[in-house]
Amino acid sequence: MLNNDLKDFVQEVVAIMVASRDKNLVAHGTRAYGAIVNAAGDELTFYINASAFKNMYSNLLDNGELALAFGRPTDYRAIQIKGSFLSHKSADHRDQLIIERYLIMFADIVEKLGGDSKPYRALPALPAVAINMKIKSVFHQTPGSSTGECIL
Amino acid sequence: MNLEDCKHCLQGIYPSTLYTCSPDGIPNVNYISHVHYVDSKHVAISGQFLNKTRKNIAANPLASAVILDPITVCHIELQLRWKESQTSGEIFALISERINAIDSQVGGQGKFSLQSVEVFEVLNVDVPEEFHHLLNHKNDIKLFSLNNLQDAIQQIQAANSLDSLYDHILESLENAFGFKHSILLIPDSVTNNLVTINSRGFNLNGVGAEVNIGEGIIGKVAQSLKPMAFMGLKREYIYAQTSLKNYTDMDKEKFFSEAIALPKLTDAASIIAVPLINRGKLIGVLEVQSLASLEFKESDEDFMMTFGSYVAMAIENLQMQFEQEVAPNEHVTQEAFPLKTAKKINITYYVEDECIFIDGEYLIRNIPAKILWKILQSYQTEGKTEFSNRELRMDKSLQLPDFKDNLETRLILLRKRLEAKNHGITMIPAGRGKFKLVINGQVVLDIL
Repeated sequence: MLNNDLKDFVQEVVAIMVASRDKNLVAHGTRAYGAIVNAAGDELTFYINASAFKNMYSNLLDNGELALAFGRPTDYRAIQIKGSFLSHKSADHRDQLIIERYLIMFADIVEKLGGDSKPYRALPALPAVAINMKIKSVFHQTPGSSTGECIL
Repeated sequence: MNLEDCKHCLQGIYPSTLYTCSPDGIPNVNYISHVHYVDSKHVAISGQFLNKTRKNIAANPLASAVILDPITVCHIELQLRWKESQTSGEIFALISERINAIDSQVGGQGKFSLQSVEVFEVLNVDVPEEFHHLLNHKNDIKLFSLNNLQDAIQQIQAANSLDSLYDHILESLENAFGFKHSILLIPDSVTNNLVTINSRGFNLNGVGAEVNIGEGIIGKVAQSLKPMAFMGLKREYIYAQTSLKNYTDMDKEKFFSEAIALPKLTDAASIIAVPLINRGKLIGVLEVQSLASLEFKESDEDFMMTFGSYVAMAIENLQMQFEQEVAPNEHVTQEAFPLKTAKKINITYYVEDECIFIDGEYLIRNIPAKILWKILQSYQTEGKTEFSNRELRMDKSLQLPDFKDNLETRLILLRKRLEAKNHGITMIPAGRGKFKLVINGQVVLDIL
């Protein structure tokens, strides 16, 4: 479903914030530390802190609705992917390598933009949980006239 | 934890995120450039590019936001209830001024302007468990005290001329507060622009650089007479530039306002600009810049404002002192022509635009240009090299304002511009209210 351009964008070092919602229709957010798209482009795996997952899990069991905002800090290109929860697992060694690489590269970007990279390197990503989701729709979120337009 | 405890996280250093949910249960997340503090129970979010969010909160007002601590990047969740959308009022005006300043700074011509602000009631403030270890983090940020302010004020009080005052103001900012990159601009009553009279810590000194009132951060500060502080400036520029596409052609006023580059750090990450106000009147604008997002603290703006009020008073006192002095009707000496090199200095005065170019390069305009043209003519026709402020003040052709003519500051500006361009023309102070013209070359005057 995601074309190569969108796959590349999602898998590069961009800020990722995840929304789930509770049974009272209140949305809550947490940070994700990297994402991978499957070959078909219709499923996405992202990583969140295990403690954050505990809070999110009841939402995923209740309704499974997810929304992820991907934003590139260097030019504010952003998209939002909406979909539904499929499965989860504890992050394994390979996942941890992906997360660690993501943190280092994201911190470097923060530094280039005038921020302090140290706290970004130390973000509490681990222990992490890998969440797999089905992609249902994709929206433009780059600030401008096309914000909110459906891409896919 | 309450909102007051995390007020420092609402300076816009890092973007925040806003989470809403549609009535049919689909969550939505938006990056927000800046969540603004309104009061201890409310925050406001600029309503640009929030079409889906607006629809969601109109149907389901419960939402949440994640803001970041600028030092530790601790994530803090604000549980919110949407209250109202505003298109006018105090909060709207405050946020709008900031956005307009950024729009103007990136040449947005008003396209990046505020349509509305969404005001939310803060129901709860919570830190997720994985960030709890950051709650007891002790930061080593040193806040300024009244001693720093006192040091700075004492340094400017030591100035005995406007020229030295302009230097002392920026020196004292570095010595007392550690602000290494600063600019001082004063208003020109003739052009209704601000003119850079001094700068410190930049590669280019930029003296003479003009800023139109109302344009950019400095121009907006002058217009609103209110300070502005931007801590995540690079991010805000990128955000604004991404939203904009078209730029308009340069007009004549824009040529003059950009003929001399304003001193700036190309990678400035934070800026504080304060108006210098005395008895309700704008005396100037003082701006400090830094490459680091976290260089300035929230309280620095207050220190700058207080320091700025002393600076404004000091500038106006010295300006008035010089204007009220009744100089003796001194005998102006006729000196022999100074030794010159054979180098020709081509000076062109453009009557319509009242500006001077030297060797094809823009130098200065308006009253300082008229003054230079006047003294160069006297030099060429009479060999005169020594001039008094009094005779300039009496010269009606210069069209100085009758009241508060700001002559000393205009002469300082002219002298500094001549020094910066180094075309072989210098003005040397020669006692109180006098200066000497030294020319190293042969002037060729041309009028167009």
